[in-house]
Order: sequence, then C-alpha cells, then structure tokens
Amino acid sequence: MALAVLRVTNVLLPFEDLIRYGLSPLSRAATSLGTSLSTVFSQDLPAKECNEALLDSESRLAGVSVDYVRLRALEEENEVLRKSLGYLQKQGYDAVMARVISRSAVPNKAVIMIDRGSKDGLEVGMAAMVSDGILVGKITKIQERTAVVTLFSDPDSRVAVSKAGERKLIGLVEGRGNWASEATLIPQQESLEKNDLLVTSGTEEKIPPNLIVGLVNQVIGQPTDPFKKAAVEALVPLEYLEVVAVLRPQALRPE
Amino acid sequence: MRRSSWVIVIISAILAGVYESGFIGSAPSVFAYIRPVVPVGVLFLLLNKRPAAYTLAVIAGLIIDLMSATSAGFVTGRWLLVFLLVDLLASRVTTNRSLYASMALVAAARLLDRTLWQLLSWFGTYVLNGAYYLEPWSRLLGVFVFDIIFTTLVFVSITLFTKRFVISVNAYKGRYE
Repeated sequence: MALAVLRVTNVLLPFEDLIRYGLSPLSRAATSLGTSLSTVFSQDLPAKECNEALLDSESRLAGVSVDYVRLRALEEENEVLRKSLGYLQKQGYDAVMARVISRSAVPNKAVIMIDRGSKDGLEVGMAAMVSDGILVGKITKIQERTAVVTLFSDPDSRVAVSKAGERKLIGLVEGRGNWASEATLIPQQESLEKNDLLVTSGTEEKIPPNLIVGLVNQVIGQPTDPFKKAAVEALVPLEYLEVVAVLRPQALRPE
Repeated sequence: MRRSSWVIVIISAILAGVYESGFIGSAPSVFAYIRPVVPVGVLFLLLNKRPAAYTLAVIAGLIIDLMSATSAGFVTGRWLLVFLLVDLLASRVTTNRSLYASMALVAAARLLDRTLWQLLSWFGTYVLNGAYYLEPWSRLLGVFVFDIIFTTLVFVSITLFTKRFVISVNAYKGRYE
C-alpha cells in the first residue's frame, strides 16, 4: 500500500528512472532477440520462395544495366542527402537516435519505449521517424532517460496529414490496432486515390511538415457521405522497429 | 535459504521481469502465453519458501512496472497480494501437497491476478482518468494451459528428484505420517 502511494505521488521517480536506465541494456537485448525471432517466424516458405525469385529477377535486371543503376543511385542519394540536410537545417531540427527497449505486450496497442528522455531534450509531442524521413509515431510520455512513443497504428494515435506536394490539411490518420491505420475526416471534395502518398501537414506544434506517413491503399466511402476514409499502408514494418530518430528542435538541444 | 539460493532467485527474478516486460511484446505471439512468474511463485509457496516467492514478486513486478511500454497495472502490488492470498489458501483450504492442489492454487493465483488487474483498470480509468490497458480474457485461457503444463512438469520433477512431496507411510502403524 505504501509502495502504491509512493508511486502514485511520484516520490520514487528518481529511483525509478535510475532502475530504468540500469536495466535498459538488458531490456534492449531482450526486445532485440524477440524482434529477431518474430522476423524469422514471420517468413513462411511460399513467401520466402517468392522473395528468392524476385531477388533473382532483380539481380538479372541489375546485371543488364549495372552502370546506369549505380549512377542513378549515386545521383539520387546525393540529392536526398542534400535535401534532408538542408531540410533539417532549414526547419531547425536535429535527429536524436534512440533504441527501442520494450514494446507493449497488450494486443492492439502499438507503443514502444525508447532509451532517450527529457535529459536529451525530448518532449511530449515530438515526432519519431526512421532515418529516411518516415514518421512512425509521437512521444506521448516522457521520463528523464526514457520515453514512450505511440506509433501511428495505435488506436489512441491521431496525426494530421496532407497529400504529398500539397501543403493543405486533408484529414487525420488514426490507428486501428494490429498495425493498421486509416485516414479519416477527409472532405468529400478532396481528390484522393490509391497509391497517393500522405505526409504530415505541419499543423502540429512539434511535428514538421512533409514527413511521410504512408500510402493510400483503398479509398472508402459513398459520394453521399460528408467525409471519406482511406486505408493507409505504412511504408516500414512498425512491428520490427529497433532504432528510431526523434526530431528535436535545435533550440532544445542540451548544452 | 542459502546465499547461493538467494542469488539464483534474484537473477531469475530479474530475467523473468525482463522477459515479461521486454521480450514478450516483440517476440512471436505464442510467447505471450508463457508467463512463468506466477506459477513459479506459487510453487515456492508450496515448498514453504515464502521469502523466495515474495522476492520474486517484488523484483520481477518492479521491472515489469518500470520497463513496460504500456501501463502494466501495478504488478508489484498485485503479485504481492496474490501470493499472500494464495499462501492463505494453501494453509487453510488446500492443505495437502498434491499435483491437483498445486494446479488449483496456480489457477486461483492467475484468476485473482486478472481480477485485481480488472479492478485496477476500472479504478484507473474512471477515478484517476488514466489509460489502463488489459490483455483479453481469451489470452488468459492460453496462459492457463501453459500454467497447468508448467506446474505439472515442475511438480513431477520435484517429486522424482527430491523427497519434498513424497508421502511416507509408516508400515508399522499403517497410516500416513
């Protein structure tokens, strides 16, 4: 009972944080082991064979036009690096790399704990992405050395989005659990098609615009409905994340 | 208990805590049914190793409470209370040390734990306005199955390799002693 009161009143917070910090390497190793096992178990045989055939075809194609591909890849990489460097500098953000130390065991919940916290200048509401600019979630709870990130497929998650290339808010991406998400509250007059790319709208305080959220998989709704919905496909497998980058405004960088 | 036994209990509790807080969430779903802390704690109580059971509850529970990404529902307090109640049941109701008694006690512990979690969740949601998430009852069924298999295996192993649960019958008096 005394322990419960001490915990609820946050008296034990410094000790709790210290224990979390001490245990994070062990927990990270356990999470990483679990993720590796999940990856192994998720590959069934027919899919494996398909992947091998695809890889074989791709290697043949690459052999035919290897020089062209290499040059194109280098050119694109250069362009992307210049853009992202310029983008982060222009927006005044830098990326704080963090490792996943635990995941929610409750089915339907898409929540992870990372090994960075308020000591690293992180705050609630900041965006977590994977290194190439794809949004995975937002920080929803913060401690000194750890933080909780709610992924955008979590039923409690809401992210304001716009279509790529248009800086107009068109709706919200809401999590539906089981790693699925849906764009909702899209006005009927907005044109939205399969394979349209959805990005962050920039209307949320700590989330910069143009972070990729996902691809539209299917547009749902009748023309008579006031709003339409769309099934959104994540571009990265959210269930296997091991490292994320949190976008921190440069002004919050610790000295 | 000897010092080496304490070391084993503490290391096992830490590993069990890390397993339940870090591993289960990312591993394939079948691992979600494998929850060793409660059956091991109950078996400790049956073996009259109360300090070991309560140490296991505190260390593993604390790790789960602190390292879980979603609110785990004050596992430390819950498990302490569950072990206390199971200890009472073991000394007042199921006084024999049979396989069936141990199965019944493990099942009772699991049910008590889930009920307490449900109550905490209601209290947390409606009184503290927090977000408390429960695992579905359907998952509990799988956990029950694991508990029963695990308890049977451990109980039979203890009976085979030690004299803990062996009932001696005095041939002269012709009755249990």
